[in-house]
Order: sequence, then structure tokens, then C-alpha cells
Amino acid sequence: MSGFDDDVRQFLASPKKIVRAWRWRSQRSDFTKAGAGLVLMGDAKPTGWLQLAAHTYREPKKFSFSVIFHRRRVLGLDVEPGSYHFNASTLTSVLATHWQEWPNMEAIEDHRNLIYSQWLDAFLGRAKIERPLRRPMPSFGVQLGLKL
Amino acid sequence: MTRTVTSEEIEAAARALITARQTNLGIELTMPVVYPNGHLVTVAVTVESGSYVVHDAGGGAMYLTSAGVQMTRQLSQRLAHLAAQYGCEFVGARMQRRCEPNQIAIAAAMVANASRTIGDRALEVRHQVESDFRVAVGEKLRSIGGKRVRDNEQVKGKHGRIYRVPHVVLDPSESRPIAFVVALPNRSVVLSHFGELWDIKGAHPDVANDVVYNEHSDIRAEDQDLLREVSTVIPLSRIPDHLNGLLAVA
Repeated sequence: MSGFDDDVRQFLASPKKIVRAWRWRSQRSDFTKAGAGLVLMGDAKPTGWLQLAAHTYREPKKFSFSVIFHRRRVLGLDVEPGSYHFNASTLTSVLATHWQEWPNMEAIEDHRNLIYSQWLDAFLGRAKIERPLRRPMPSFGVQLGLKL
Repeated sequence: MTRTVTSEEIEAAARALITARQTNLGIELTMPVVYPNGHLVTVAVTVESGSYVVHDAGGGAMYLTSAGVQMTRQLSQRLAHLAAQYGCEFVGARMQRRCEPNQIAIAAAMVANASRTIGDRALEVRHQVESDFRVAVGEKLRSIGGKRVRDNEQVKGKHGRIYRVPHVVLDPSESRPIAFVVALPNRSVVLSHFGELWDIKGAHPDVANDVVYNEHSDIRAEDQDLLREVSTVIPLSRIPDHLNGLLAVA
């Protein structure tokens, strides 16, 4: 196992918390995104990043959760991706919601039928990220963009 | 014994990768094109203002976001240029192309491939971040030091080896170096820079060696300690203080 793999394993296994609550931004695109720095418990400097993304109008709702460590996605959850995912090493396919974890990033199906907040909690739990009190949800649905 | 596979079977299997279904996006087509994470690219066919539009519904950009890549204005411009190579447009983080009804299949192939090239950017991001960091260090030095900062200068080490130093800070007369500055984007270049700076220090003991490191990279305290043997180690955010001090003294 390489040094980076060890670092990732240690990072994922360590309890973490987010630096501050995330804010969703859509920038007039088809999806909305949010992110927050991740800091290991007892540390002051963020060493990772929690990245959230959600399609704003696709049905069924499509969203993803990622832990980014040194600019690499090391833990991911893609909910209702809407297309097949092929695992490069085995050429097996997955259509449903799935998890991916460093180092092999093979997609592992998860057939639970959960709502957004439950998937978020499941992801925070698996990533060992302390559940923050404020957990803003994405706004789904077509936005009219009125200047109110 | 290996089973013989006919061309018909292969064609049928390949065609089976393509699926089309009506969703709230329009007609969603799954194409036999794969993002680097293994997801098949899907494109949507819709009718807008009386003409057909094939687009990726932001799928490529959303994939990039999930991979931790920030969509900067420069990246957006680069993607727009890439889109043009496929005859597509990259507008509002969406890859799209207008077409006639009889062109939908080929337009879908072009949009899918253009969307995948967005995804490919995730593979290049580390390199891009490193190069952006080097550029950021250079810009910061020049904004403070002006004409007293020179780029990419040749410097001879004690043992005769010649090095290209990314930035050199000059004295007020702009005739003599007072500091050699190296940008350190990540841990992998610590040892090579250590050797280079050690050799240069031997030939130019009166010139300061400064290493500017990326606080958000994988550089550890022990890497910084090693480099302190041959240089002053500064985080990017402290360049203004450090450089102003250097310029004031010289």
C-alpha cells in the first residue's frame, strides 16, 4: 500500500467535523452545489473537503456526496445517478445508488429508499463526519429567477 | 476453448449499451461513452424554440464538481473552447448542441463526447492546481516586487550544475540577486528542491533561498523542517510580509 493510500485510510477512519455550515449555490445551471472544509477532531487546519451536488429538476432526484482529500474524491455516494456505472477493473455494471471508496473506487450498490436528509446522514456517518446542527438542504425544482 | 463471437452478437451487445427513455428532462439517451469515474454519459433531447437541442443537463459539470474541481472562469473558458471542437456550446455549465431531427443521433454522440471531455478535466486537476500555484506565486511576487523580480533565471550551483530558478529577487540597483524563490506545490518535489537549493546555497551563500509552499497541499511539518536546512519556508499567504521585509532591508 502506498503512502498516499495510508494517508487516505487514516483520514477516512479519523473522526472529523466541518469547519462551517455549507451554502448551496446554483449559478444558474442545471445543478446546485455546496461545500465545506473538513477538519480532524483536535486539529485546527482543514485537511479535507465535503462536496455536495444536486440536480435541481431531474426526477427521480439525483444528487451526490463526496469527501475530497488532496484534490481526489476518496469517498463518494451517488444517489439515483440515472445511468449505468461500469467498474473499470471488472467491467461489471451498477445502475442504482452506489458508494465508491478509495483506493479501488468500485461502485457498491445501496438499494435503500431514503430521502435527501437520510442519505446525507448516512454519508456523514460513513465518512466519520460529526453531524452538524445546521444542515442546509438543496432546493429542488425549477426556479423562476424572479427579481423579488 | 474460446467461444466464437459473431459480428452480429457484438453489434447487438454494443447497441444494448444505448438506451432511450422519456423523463422530465425530455428523451434521455444513455450513450456508450464513459466519464473517468465509470458513469455512462447521458444526454437529453428536448425541443426549444422550435428546434431540437441535445444537452447533457449539466452532467459533465456536475461530475467535475463531485470530483472536487472548482469551476473557475478560466476553466469555463477552456471548456467552452473544447466544446467548440465538437461543434457544441458550453453554456451555464451545460454542454449542448442544436440540430435537425435527422441529426439527433450524431449530435448526441458529439455532445456525449464533449461532456466526457469535461469529466476528463478531473484527471488533469492535480497538474493544473500545481501549475496554478506556481503562477499564483509568480503573480504575487511581481505585484509586490515589480521590476525587482525576475523569472526563470539560470543559476550555477557549487558543483557546476545549472538550475532554472523560477523567481529571483534583485537588489535596488537590479544588478545583484538577494533571494532565489521556489514554489512548492506538493510533497513530491521536496527532495529535488532540497538538493537544488543546497547546491545553490554552496555557490551563493549571501543570497537567501526562499521556498513558498501551498498550505492546502500534502506538505508536512517534517518536509518543512528538512527544507529549513537550506532555505526559509513560507506559506503562500505570508509572501507579502516576507517580501516587503526583504525589499526593505536590501
